This record gives sequence, structure tokens and C-alpha cells, in this order.
Amino acid sequence: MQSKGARGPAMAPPESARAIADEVRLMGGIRRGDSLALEALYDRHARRVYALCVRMLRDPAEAEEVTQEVFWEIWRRADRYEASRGAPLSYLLNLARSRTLDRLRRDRRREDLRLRAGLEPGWLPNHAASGPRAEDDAIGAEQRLAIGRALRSLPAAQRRAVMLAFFDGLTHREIASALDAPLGTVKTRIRKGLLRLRNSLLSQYRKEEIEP
Amino acid sequence: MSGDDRRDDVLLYASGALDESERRDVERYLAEGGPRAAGELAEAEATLAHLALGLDPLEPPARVKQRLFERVADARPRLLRLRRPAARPRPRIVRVARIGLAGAAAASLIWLVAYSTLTARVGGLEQALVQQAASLDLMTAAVDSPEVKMIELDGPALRHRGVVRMVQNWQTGECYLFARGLRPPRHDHSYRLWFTGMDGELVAGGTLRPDRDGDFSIHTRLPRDVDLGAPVVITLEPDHEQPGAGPSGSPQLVGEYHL
Repeated sequence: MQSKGARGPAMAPPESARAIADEVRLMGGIRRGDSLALEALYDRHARRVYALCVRMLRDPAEAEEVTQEVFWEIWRRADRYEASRGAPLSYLLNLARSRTLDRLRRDRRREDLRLRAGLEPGWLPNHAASGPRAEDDAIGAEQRLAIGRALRSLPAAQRRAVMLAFFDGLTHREIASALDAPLGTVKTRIRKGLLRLRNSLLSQYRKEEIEP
Repeated sequence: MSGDDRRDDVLLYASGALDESERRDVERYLAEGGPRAAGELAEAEATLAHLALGLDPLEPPARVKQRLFERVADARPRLLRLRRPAARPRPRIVRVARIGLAGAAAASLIWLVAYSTLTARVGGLEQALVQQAASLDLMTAAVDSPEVKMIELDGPALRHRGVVRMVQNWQTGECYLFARGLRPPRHDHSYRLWFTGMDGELVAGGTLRPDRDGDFSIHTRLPRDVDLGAPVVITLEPDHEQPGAGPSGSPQLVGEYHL
């Protein structure tokens, strides 16, 4: 495993550089009011945004609303995206997570989530339209495997704390309460879990770069 | 605190899991940290995005896309209206134009009434009178409309005290361009008007051939999908240029919208 402070290239989603450049161009088009650019971005990534929203909200109807809101915000506020801050896909997914957290907090569904906190992430509920499309590219499947490997490499307690923080938007204090663990322990688990996850992903991508 | 600790804190900050005081510390660092801090934040956000990429993609129902694009289509004209400065005083040029048009309308009416008295027997005079009045009404209404924008173009093609103004009606797509005091184009050349399309490409808007005094006017339509936030340009182009070719000359006049 890499040391905590290992320096590496800024990590971007494992798309090709060309795909990222294409998406940066699409964001430029959206900024100029080109709805075809928005449609192209939607067609590429709506499934990822929707999957994240469904996983976090556990409610497909609400996930539809948030997905629409996220792309609407991209349309209205495309000028907020800065290419120097990372790939458009990272921006899109972080925006989706942020808006979903807003919704979760607004809907006061914390209690319900806490009840479910003991569940190991099953990732997705049953859904009529679930599953990758037939044409889903091999890179997508590979990256999910890589991320799954990275998550499985975390000790169970760290993994659970990270999942609760990321997908359920619970604060340290709320996670401590949900897991019935001391606050300091929860903080340490999240910190170590996220850092280990980052280093594990970095090391996997570097290995892929070395071994084509 | 070491650089590595900072980098770790930025990751925790991006995850939203920091307490208030820790969050403020990191925000201060990000505000002052320059490109290095920005890079660390980008890396942290990418790490978190990877967690989402671990999910199997899910196809959203078709209605999500349909509603989104209905909203986009509905909002377009409204956005244009919103971009109009709310309480800005009407520019002097518009006030002058209104007074001028009203004066011209009155003068035309007087002239036409006098003319009709003198030549009452001339057929079709009444019809001409109605048409003239309607045309002046239309122009006055256009200048008064909130959907109308007037832009002034400036550049080396203008003589001293020359002026080129364009009046556009964003609702109807009509566009009037008036030029006074344009320098005569070089032999076998003419001025050409260009709008900027949504894709950033220039779209031809017409050819301008001023008379000996450098005066010219054109009534045309805005191209579809024109970017109303981008400049309008007039270039000098050779007459033998193929129709449909892009601009080859340097900009002679440029006008920008003041939204």
C-alpha cells in the first residue's frame, strides 16, 4: 500500500482523456446555451446520476426529480464548472450527491436511515430498469470491479462508516449514534477508510498504466 | 500542519464529514492555498466520485429526459426576458428614435393629407396613406417593445461621425440594420454581416453594399440558434467568395449586446 502522503497524478474518473476532453467541450456548449450539448451529456451520464440518487434516496420517484434538477442546474449554472477543478463527470456526480443530501436533510429521513444503518450496502434496490445497458462499455464494468475491490479491501467497520458518510450523508456524530460507537472512533474510521480508498484506487490506476 | 495532513483534511472536507470548526479551517486553506489546494480538492472530489462510479448504472425513465428538455425549451424565451435590465432608463438613442419616428410619422401624414387633397382623383392614394401609417406604426411599436434590442457597431469601416446601428426584435426574429457614413469597400469587395451561432460558428446575415455616401439599410431576419450574447461582426469580403463560405477578412465593425 502506498504511504499516506503519496503524491500522484490528480485522480480523474477512469474515462479516456479524449472522453474527458469531449465532455469539457460539452460543458462549454452548455454554457453558451446549446441544448444539444446538454442532451449529449445527459445521454452519457444520466444513468450514473440516477443510480447514485436511487442508492442515496432509496426512492426511484424522488431520484427522478433530483436527476432532473441536477441536469437543470448544469444547464442554468454551467459557468460554475471549471475544467481545472477536474473532469465534468466528477463535478456532475458531486453535484448530484450534494443535491441528494439537501433532499435527504429536507425530508427529515434521518431516523429512517439510521434504522437501516446496520445494513451492509446492497448497493441497489430492485428496480424495473436496473442493470447496465447491453452497450455499457467494458471500461464501465472494469471500473466498477476496481472500485468494488477497493471497497472490499477496507476493514468492515471502516467500510460501513464511509458508506454511511457518503451515501447517507450522516455526520460523524450521527454515524456514531447509528453504529453505537464513540465519536472519536468513527472519525478515525472515516478518515482511514477514505484515505485508504484513495490510495488503493490510485495504486490500481497506476498499475493499469504500467501494465497495459 | 504538514502538507500531507492538509491533503487528507481536504478529502474529508469534500466528503462533508468535518465538523464546523474543521470545515472552516479547510475552507480558509482552500481560499488561500492557490493551485496546489485546488488540485487537492479536485483529487478529493474525484475520489468521492469513484464511490458513485462503483454503482451499476440505472436507466432513468424516459419522462425524466422529456421533462428536462421541456423545461429547457420553456425557459429559453423567459431567460431572454430576464436578461433585460429591469429598471434601466431607456437609452437616449431610443428616446431620440421614438421622437424622430413620431415626427416622421406626423410629417408623412401631413404630407400625405396635403398630397391627397391636391390629387384627390389619383387612384390608390388612400391605400398608400393607410400603408404608410401602418408601416410607421410598426416601426414605432418595434422601438417601444421590450423584446427589441438596439446595438451600435463600431470599427475602422466608419468615417468620422458615421454610425451603424442594428435593431433586433428577439420575439419576431426581425432585424434592421442602418448604416450612415461607411467607408466605401475596396474594389470587388463588399461588407458582410455575421451573427454568432450557438455552436460558436459565424452565420452569414447578409451582404452590405453602401451607396456613394456610405449609406445602407437592410431588413433581414435573425438566423435560427443565434447566440444573443455573442458579438455581431461585419467583415470585408471579396465579391467572388463562394456563397456559404465563412468569413475571410478581418472584422471591420463589431457590436456587442449589453444584456
